[in-house]
Amino acid sequence: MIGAVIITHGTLGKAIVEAAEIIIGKAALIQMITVTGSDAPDGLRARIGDAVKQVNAGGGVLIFTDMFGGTPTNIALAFLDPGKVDILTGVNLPMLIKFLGHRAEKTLSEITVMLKEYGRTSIVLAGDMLKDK
Amino acid sequence: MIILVRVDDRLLHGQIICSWVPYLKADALIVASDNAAGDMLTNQIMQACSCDELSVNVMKLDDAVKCARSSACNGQGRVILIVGNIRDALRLHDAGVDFTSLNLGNVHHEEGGRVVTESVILNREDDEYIGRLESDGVTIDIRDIPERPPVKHTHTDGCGR
Repeated sequence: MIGAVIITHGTLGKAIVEAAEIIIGKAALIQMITVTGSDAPDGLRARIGDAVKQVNAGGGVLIFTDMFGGTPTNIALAFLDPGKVDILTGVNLPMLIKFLGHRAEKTLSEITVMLKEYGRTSIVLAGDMLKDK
Repeated sequence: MIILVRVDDRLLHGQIICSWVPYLKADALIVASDNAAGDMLTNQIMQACSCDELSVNVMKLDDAVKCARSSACNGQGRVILIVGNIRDALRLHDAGVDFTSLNLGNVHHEEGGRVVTESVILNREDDEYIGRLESDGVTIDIRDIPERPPVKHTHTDGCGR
């Protein structure tokens, strides 16, 4: 099973996991890290390292972050280890729910390819649906 | 033309890309950091933040000095120059890079220090470097994002807690 660490500015990560749990129930092997203005880069790196270790049950770890270019992503990138730890930016609720539903049967590289695409296609503009009619 | 010199131990991140760049209508970012310039992944990630409207250059501090003092820098339009710590800002200044204001965005120390704001924690060395910059006429502007009012730097009695 693939472990997950969700690293975001503020409490977004915590909130998104709570939201996912309302929909599909309690999630295991998941850690959330809150990044605030008072976090020193070294301390943050250590917290991420601990979290990655804690959720690694042998199937690798996927780190979700909120935004490419932001501090949570920048610091998480130090943990990139192809096939073992990967980082996916722009976490959204459909993406996270999809992950939680498939992480037991897929490999890390399979699930990352799927989620990158799924996270994008799950964004829908309602007005476009009318235009197609 | 350099329009802002900023100290930020996170270097290039959301506060800069999403707040300072639009606020100052910056055209270019120069990240002057020996560590970042020497690390290929960090370097690539930062370059990936560039787009048609914004160029991003990561370079060693000495190269940033050369760049800032040359006419090539003027060709880049409005430039934000970012360093990782106050000592590097002083190195820029001592090497002849001209700036009259220094923005402190994110300064932290593992071992702690004097808490000025949530994101700026200064130790004794920082105070000394700031003192030298101030005596050369550099104003210290403490704020993480432009929307917040700047906090004034006040000197302590030197105990550097």
